[in-house]
Amino acid sequence: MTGDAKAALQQIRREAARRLEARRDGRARVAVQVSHCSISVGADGVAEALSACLPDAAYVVQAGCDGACFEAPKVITALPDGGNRRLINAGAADAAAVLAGPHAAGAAWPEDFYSRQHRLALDGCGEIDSEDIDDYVAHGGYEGLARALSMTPGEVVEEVKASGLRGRGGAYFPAAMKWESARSVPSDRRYLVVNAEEGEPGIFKDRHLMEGVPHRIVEGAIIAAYATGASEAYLYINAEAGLSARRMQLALEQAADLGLLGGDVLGSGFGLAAEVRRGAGGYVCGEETTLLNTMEGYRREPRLRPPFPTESGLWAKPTVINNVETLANVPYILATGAEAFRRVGSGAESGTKLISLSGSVRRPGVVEVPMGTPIRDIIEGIGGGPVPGQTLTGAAVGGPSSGVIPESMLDIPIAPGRLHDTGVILGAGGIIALDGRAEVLDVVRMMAAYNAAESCGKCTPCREGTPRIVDALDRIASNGGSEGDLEELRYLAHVVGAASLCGLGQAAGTPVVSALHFFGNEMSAVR
Amino acid sequence: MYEKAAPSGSRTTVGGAAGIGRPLTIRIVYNPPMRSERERSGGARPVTPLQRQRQSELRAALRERFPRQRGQLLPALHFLQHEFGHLPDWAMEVVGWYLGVPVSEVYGAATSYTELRLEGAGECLVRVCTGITCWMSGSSGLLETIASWLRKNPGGGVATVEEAACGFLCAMAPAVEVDGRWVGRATPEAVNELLPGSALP
Ligand SMILES: Cc1cc2nc3c(=O)[nH]c(=O)nc-3n(C[C@H](O)[C@H](O)[C@H](O)COP(=O)(O)O)c2cc1C
Ligand code: SF4
Ligand code: FES
Repeated sequence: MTGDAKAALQQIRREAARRLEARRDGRARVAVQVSHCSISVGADGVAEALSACLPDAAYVVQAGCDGACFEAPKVITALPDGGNRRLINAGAADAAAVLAGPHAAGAAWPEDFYSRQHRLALDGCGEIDSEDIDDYVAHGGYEGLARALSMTPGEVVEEVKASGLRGRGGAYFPAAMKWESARSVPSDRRYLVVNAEEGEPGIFKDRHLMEGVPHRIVEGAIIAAYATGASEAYLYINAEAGLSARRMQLALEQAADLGLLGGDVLGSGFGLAAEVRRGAGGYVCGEETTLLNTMEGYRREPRLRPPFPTESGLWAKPTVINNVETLANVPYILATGAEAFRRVGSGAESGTKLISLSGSVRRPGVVEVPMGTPIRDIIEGIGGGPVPGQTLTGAAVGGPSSGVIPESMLDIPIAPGRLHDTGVILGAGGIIALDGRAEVLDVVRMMAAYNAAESCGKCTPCREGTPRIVDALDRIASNGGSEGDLEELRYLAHVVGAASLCGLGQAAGTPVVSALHFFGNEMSAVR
Repeated sequence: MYEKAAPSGSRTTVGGAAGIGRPLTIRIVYNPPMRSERERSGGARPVTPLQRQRQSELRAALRERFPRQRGQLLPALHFLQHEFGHLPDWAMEVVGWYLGVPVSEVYGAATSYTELRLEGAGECLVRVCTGITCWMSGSSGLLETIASWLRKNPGGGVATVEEAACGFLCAMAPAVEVDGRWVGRATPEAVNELLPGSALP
């Protein structure tokens, strides 16, 4: 079987190149970055206007946002003579500038934004046609899959194990170990679930991957399913991420058309069916056992563990649940080898992390940096520092299940696991830079109120405790709070954290604990 | 005028009287709770001829789209929301009957998902993100302005204004959604352009 998959991909690649060439036909290729973020500032209108008014010497394709959301809407034109043109913050009226004339003001690449990144998962995002499998294949796509299929599933597990890849959904569990343990449970069928719920406030990186490089996720999922021995894959996509769902659906269909999905993937004899499922809202839906309940038609409530999903997951079958970004790293590892992946990142932790960067930065967006990059480099180096007229006061890192750190701590390098003893974690990689406009007390109250609203109510400490944390914060906000209020906050944070069933409750105290630790004086001084 | 308290934030309903909601939200006709024997045993017995027709139409639509498996519950509820703009009681009963899921459990699942609506929103649903980044970029002022414009000039319709915890557009803050269309780097004027009729006083 060995050579077959690679030969089959060769064949696909030749045909893809032929189709792309026929389409290009000496014309200019105008890539409009159409994504959830850019549509909100009219990128779909720009794409439409360009399609309608460009001369026959050009054609329009839709890419995803390359992560530089601050430049949206953006148009990248590849001219027939090999030259490139970039148009940023484009409007429908800028059509003429796409092909000729002077570059629009500020169209130089913001060097710092890109040069400080290391883009593996995001490679090609923003240029690759998000709706055409041929473009991804021409970009070296599905090479990792072809190599994986020429190995045994056990060898694939070993390769990914050697790479040190950990889950990027927040818990950083070694990916290959999950696959291996699901594989080791005897069963007539196994499932792979791609966790694309991404319901955590401040996080938008999985959407960028799905909208920009959907086939990388499909490829990663097929490899993971092969290593796991799964015969069915489900992509569980957030209810509000409509464009992501559309492009993933299209990607699945195109992959099936070329024989990359279905009964006999690349002629290897391995079969995989894949399907898109939509979520229905709620942070806790991203928690893996809740997600399984949702898919089976039950309330959005976590399940008790053990048994773990790898033993008894979807419909009580062994199930691997992986985050979108985790899977987006897998093709690179298989195509380039574990060693290359290990070399990226800091000694102990390999690879990159996607960061959803927002708050007080001049260049907000999605960036990909090696593990071990200091938070300050991300906020100031890549993000360009606080917005004009403001000074940084700290950052909210890791979303509502994590906490806040002060400006003086921004030199912490990003890493899996805890960033600080107060429980601040990198989580899914949201970094919100804070400045003087944001009172820490308000920020923490937002996080606490969010946790309280999203608590599913299944267990008492979380259901009852999270609103009481909010109440205590409100008392502090209205009258400075007594020493008793601060004491109660600490107590509640501890109890809720220690006695809750799932990760939501277990981490619900962290915003408070970290804020009291770093900003205690400031908070109780709000009188 | 629909008023419903949302745990995650405040909800202001402005306008009223003239607006009846979406055409398919004929709530008065189809909403009476049906507590018949059949229903308790899992079957939904239509009460009026009109309802019977409505329900059998829905049953046929479900049969076309979904296998009779519990795992299809969420897809089926999405379908209802898509068709009716919310989840009418009578339709949830049909879904329960069709999938073999007790109606109380259909209701239990439906109420636990924040994206699913048990009641229709106004003619126009405005969601202003008040998450951390949007709020730093002035979303509370934006919310105030839009709500006060709509209060003064609802354009004869019913608009529902809600806070959203995050529109996943933090890099485009502040973000506002009008009837499913998000506006990034939002200004009151840009939002106004999407409102049915002009809300500008
Ligand atoms: C409250 C809560 C919300 C979560 N939300 C997500 C999410 O939106 N996306 C995600 O991939 N993982 C989320 N997780 C983590 C998942 O439970 C799970 O660890 C992850 O999907 C595993 O994939 P990975 O090993 O590839 O990271 C969440 C966990 C908790 C406790
Ligand atoms: S910790 Fe909170 S969200 Fe998790 S199961 Fe308990 S009540 Fe539900
Ligand atoms: S905070 Fe408003 S979009 Fe995320």
